[in-house]
Amino acid sequence: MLFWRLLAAGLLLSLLCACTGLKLVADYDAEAAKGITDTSAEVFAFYDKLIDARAEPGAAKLPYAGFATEWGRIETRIRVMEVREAARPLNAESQRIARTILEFWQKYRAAHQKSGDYPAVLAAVHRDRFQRLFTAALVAERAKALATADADPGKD
Amino acid sequence: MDIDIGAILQTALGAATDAVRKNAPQVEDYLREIAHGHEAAIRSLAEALARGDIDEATFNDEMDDEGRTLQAELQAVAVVTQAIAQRAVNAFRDALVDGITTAVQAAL
Repeated sequence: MLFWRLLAAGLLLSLLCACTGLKLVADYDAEAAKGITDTSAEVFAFYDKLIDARAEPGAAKLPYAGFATEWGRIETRIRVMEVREAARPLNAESQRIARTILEFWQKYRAAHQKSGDYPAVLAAVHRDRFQRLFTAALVAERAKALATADADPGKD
Repeated sequence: MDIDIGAILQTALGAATDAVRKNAPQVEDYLREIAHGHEAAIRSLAEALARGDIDEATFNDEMDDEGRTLQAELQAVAVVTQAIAQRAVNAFRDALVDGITTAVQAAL
């Protein structure tokens, strides 16, 4: 009797040990988190510059040409962020957030290029919108550390 | 050999419950933050429309972008809840394996 009970317990244990842990989200990536914060810093600095330029006395319009280089450089960084997210398995949500950031960036860039101006009221709204989106990207990345007991996002 | 499977399951359930209890408040806090940000954005846009700083077409376009922003923020909430679920299920499994291992070793 003891033999059969031990055998049953051993089989159950083998079965449990053989099953790998459940995995629903990608592993936490400190480099990805750093990429998000660094890119967000560039976006905020860009919008601050835009808003300051608009607030200058006598500032009529904000021609696209004065900002074209930064629009392009930051778009490249956002694209890199999106590619990094897309390359990771179990990462559809983060990829979608990064994709939304890129699409908004391209949309606002095209609007600035077309109109040759960036209204102050919209610049402030868009800056805050990007802040919410980058926060979402970072919340999603840091949440991945919750999935495993030993990960510590506070280390980066 | 006497394996108290009820006690082992109870311990495993406790481990899973702890994982959820410790981390679930983060979801609530973030949902509150999302609602606050969304409300502030809509208020800014409505005021800009009322002042005549933006026209109705721009307002509607911005509201569409607000909707997409909210969707993206909810993607982050989905990651948080999935991560908590992953941690809870794995804590349950680990506690179950530990309990049975200990019981089997004690019986040998």
